[in-house]
Amino acid sequence: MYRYDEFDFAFVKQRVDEFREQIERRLAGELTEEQFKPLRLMNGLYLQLHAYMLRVAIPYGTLSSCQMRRLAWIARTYDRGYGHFTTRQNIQYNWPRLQDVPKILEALAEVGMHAIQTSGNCIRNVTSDPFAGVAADEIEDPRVYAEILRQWSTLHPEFSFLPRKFKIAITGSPHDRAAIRVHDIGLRMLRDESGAPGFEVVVGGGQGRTPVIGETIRKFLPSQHLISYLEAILRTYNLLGRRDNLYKSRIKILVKQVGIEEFRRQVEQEWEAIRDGWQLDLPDAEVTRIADYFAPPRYEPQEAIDLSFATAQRQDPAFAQWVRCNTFAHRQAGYAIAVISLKPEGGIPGDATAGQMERVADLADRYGFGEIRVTHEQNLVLPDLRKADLPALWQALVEADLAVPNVGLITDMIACPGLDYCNLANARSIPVAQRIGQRFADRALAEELGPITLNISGCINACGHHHVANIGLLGVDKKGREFYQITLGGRADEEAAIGDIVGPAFSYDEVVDAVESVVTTYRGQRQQGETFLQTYRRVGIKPFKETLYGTG
Amino acid sequence: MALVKHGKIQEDAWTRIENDSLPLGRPLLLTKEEWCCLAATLRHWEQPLGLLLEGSDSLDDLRPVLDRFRLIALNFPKFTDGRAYSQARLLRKRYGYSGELRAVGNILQDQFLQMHRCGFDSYEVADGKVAEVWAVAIHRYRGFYQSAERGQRREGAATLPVEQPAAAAWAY
Ligand code: SF4
Repeated sequence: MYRYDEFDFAFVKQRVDEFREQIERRLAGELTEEQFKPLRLMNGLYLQLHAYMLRVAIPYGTLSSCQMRRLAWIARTYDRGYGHFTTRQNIQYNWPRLQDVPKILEALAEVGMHAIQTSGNCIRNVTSDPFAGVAADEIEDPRVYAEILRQWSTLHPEFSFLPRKFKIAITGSPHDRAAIRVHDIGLRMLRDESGAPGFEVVVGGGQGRTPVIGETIRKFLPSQHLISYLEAILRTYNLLGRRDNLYKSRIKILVKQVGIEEFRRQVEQEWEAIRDGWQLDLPDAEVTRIADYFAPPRYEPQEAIDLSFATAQRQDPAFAQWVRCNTFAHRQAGYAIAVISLKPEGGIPGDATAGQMERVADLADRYGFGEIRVTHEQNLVLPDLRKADLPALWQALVEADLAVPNVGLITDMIACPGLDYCNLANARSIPVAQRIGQRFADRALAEELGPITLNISGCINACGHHHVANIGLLGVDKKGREFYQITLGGRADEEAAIGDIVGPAFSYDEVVDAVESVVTTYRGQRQQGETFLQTYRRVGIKPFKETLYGTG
Repeated sequence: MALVKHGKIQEDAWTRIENDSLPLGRPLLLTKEEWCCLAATLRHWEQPLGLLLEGSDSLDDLRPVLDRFRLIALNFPKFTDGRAYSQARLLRKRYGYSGELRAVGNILQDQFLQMHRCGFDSYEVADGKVAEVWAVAIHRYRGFYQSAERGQRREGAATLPVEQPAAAAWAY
């Protein structure tokens, strides 16, 4: 993985110093809250319902065990002993004190981490496939360009006061685990006929109150032009994006308003003008230098098939279930990828205690190559595990309460902080997730239902990604009471789609029954081997409406 | 109002059109609209001319006449309105404007560095005291991650080779 060199260390240190001075000016009253706000947001600091919240970047979801231990230490020292992994591959601390923030940022800088641009109207932490570099279906390793983009976007002088926040996601696999079609810019790595690497560039996707699936602005962009092309998009947006209305200022609205053809024409025109003369693109040597950091670790060549792994699965059904649900194909023979679910029954999706973080770090050192990933579904990943080590690893996870076998199942929910933490919320998200988790606590049943994504947002800002869930729940306010609108059929992968609203919303008390009714309808309609989405596609929304609201 | 240029308070010599009269003998700052109306009248004007542009003003049509201006002032209606950063870069790099570039309107001292990097030379600020922090702001970072008008992207590994992680800082 990428490692900071002296330049990077010095850079984040300088950034911490700058922010410390800004905090001092704020505390001394030299900066008003209005002036301080964009400055603190660009350093990841929010003001929430009860306290400040600090959002720390985990660039493209990649962490070393050493960094994970530091995150645990911060949780214990400056927070209440836990952290919250988010849908943007960040970690949030919900209870830091303003005066402690510079110390936290210093502690992060020491291990090559920061909170730069995790908020604010700038280019946010670039996200990627949590299986990058190890997925069996990968065409190109997206981490190299994700790191190049992280560097390019960091304190970009021109793009720090955009009309609105700007999110970039990148994937290198045909199966999209990074939800690139619902980002401001989505990048999909591919190769042209001659085998040269490049990107499909998707623009104007997003969730929030106006969910949009992004459109392809360029089918193939040779990879050496990535930065000049992104600068052309960003400049066009920076100059033309609306600034008069918060809800109409994302790039998706601009693309809709002028149309993708016209937007493309303007971007390409800008790009033509800057492509060669501005020297924005990285020289090959620099790309190679960064790529070297992502060279595969020293895998042990597989000399024979180790039967103990298969035997262990036969002997222990619980282990076998965990293997079926939580492990994924690795590109290296004899290895597997394991997802550690942060969705225990009745827990808070994405929360991990300091002790759990340390345990995961230890396991990454013991069984992997000291590397950990964070997924946008708010889980953790150990990317490089020998299959023969999985039984022992699983035992250790069981002891740490980290072995829930529910990845991709209905209880692997995404939930935003909701009314418990967020001052924009209409309704609670976390307790709803907890109740749904309890309702579907039967692990055999959950597995039998097959893959179902269920996401919950506490308001229309859609931080819980409800639009792109197979079953989406959106908190709405009805005369001061919490209600939940249900959408069906959304998805975030390569066939991204926005869910359909099924009908009038359900109250806080009714919503779990309503979810169960959706699931029961699916089970009734399902044909052999179908997933929820396949059934939904075949039968449509009508049967679900009927069971939820009665016929007529 | 005070004018900060290269970290020093300076006299602002530029004047605007007031009460429908063109002041003689001093450098004259015009809005784009005024320039469009007066371009013919000012054909043989000998005093320096400057342009005051808003974020919504297009630049393309000014290209043929840019060398008539010694000053271009870009307005920030709010310090969160970042259009002028892009305008500055376009003027400098794409249109080759080499005269003075000034930031006016609502700006924060915390933005000096990024303005400087986008090609601004001078700043109209509410409080002249901030002139002192300009030099600190400009020199805070030893290098950058991207190329701009000032401060180029760092190239290559800094001191530490890839194979050898920064042990002291890394493994605490
Ligand atoms: S979706 Fe709404 S309630 Fe949930 S975190 Fe986002 S803004 Fe807050």
